[in-house]
Amino acid sequence: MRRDLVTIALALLAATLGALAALDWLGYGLHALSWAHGS
Amino acid sequence: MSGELLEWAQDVERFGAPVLAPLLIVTAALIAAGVAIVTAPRARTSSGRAWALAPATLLTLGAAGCLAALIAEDRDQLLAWVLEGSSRDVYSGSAPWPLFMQLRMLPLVELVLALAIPGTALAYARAFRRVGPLFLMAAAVSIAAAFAVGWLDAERLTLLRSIGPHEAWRAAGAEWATLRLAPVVVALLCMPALVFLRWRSHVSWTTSWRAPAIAGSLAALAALAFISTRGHAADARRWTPLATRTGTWVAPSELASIPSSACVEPAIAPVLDLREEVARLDGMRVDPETTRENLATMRRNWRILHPRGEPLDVVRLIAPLEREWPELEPYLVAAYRAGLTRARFVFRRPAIAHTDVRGPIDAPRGCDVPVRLSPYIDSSEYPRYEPGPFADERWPTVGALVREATRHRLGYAYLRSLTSAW
Repeated sequence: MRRDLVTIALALLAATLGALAALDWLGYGLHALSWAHGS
Repeated sequence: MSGELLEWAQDVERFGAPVLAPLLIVTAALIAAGVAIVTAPRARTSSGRAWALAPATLLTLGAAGCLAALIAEDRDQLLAWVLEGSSRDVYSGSAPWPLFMQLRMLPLVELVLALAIPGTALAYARAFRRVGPLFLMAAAVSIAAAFAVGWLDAERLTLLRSIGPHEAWRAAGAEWATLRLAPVVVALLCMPALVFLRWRSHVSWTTSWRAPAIAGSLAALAALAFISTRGHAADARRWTPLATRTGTWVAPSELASIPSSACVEPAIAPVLDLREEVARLDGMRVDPETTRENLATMRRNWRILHPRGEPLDVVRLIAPLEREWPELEPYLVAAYRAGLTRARFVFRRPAIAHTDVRGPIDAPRGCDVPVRLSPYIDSSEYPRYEPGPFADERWPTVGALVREATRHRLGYAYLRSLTSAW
């Protein structure tokens, strides 16, 4: 059970940080699109 | 990297803006599905898969609903874009990009967490009955932490920057940006690999150390990715430019000394380019007569295309400072006859923008200097008792007119500062 908890905590951490990083990266890409378009 | 990014962005742009929204939704759904499948322990069974897919479904529905709400909100803007056809240069302000900017500005991170994590939590609660409540608590803490990070990023950015090695990052320049993006790519690539491993593995994940080891490695990678994208997030949030924009026109350097208080916000309006022998109205070759006709047509259509906006009464002019009045007059008269009472000379002021990812870069800013097309019509940009200059032969060149207009603008700004002080 302790091992499960460790796995859960780490997976959750990885998922949260990964999602945040990916979304920020996506946001930067969209920003690039808007900049390329000139708005 | 940013140069390549811009090229890629321009390629995407050729396919058209509508491609982007589904792409965004699919990307978000994939992330959520990856999260759910990696973390849902019994995904090999059909019910396990169903639980794992629930967050992705929720997220997709949520994102689609969010897009639909935005489209409903900005339908006149979309209508304008559709009616004005594919020529995006015609009215850059009414292209649907602001729509996607709004989509980006939405708290998408919070959306992902709010929709995907409860779904994943349910999957956990089902599979690990004993630790389900603990997981839910962990999920609650994680959501709170994510909100806190978002709040810190938005509200306390300057404080965080002042204590971080911010200047060192800036100095590292564009090459470093590629390296900083690498962990993100690795983390994204790891996700499907892990899903595959999870699916194929015959090892019991709950009794082996392999699962925590992989989860730990992934967490480390994700942390690296998160740290490495702080600069990107900050740049995107602050709307900093990404590169020196290589425009097709360059402002006269004399205007470098214009203070920003002399400029007005760029208007969404037709652009009359008088730099060359042949004048161009929004890119189309025109003579004075067709200028009048086209502007009158635009003015008539403006109410349909921009039902919530102001009526069209301004034309933006691009002309070199040394251009003389007789060359300009027929076009300005044409604009006035079409019903446009105001004009703005469009210039650029050189400026440096400080970005996190690429360091300080040249980012010239637009500067619209308003002038009147008639002495008889007052303009809100000038005080009533001291009307700004109108275009006529008293100012023999564009430069003289713009200098006069700048002088008036500065006087107006000074008066306004006095009144606001009262």
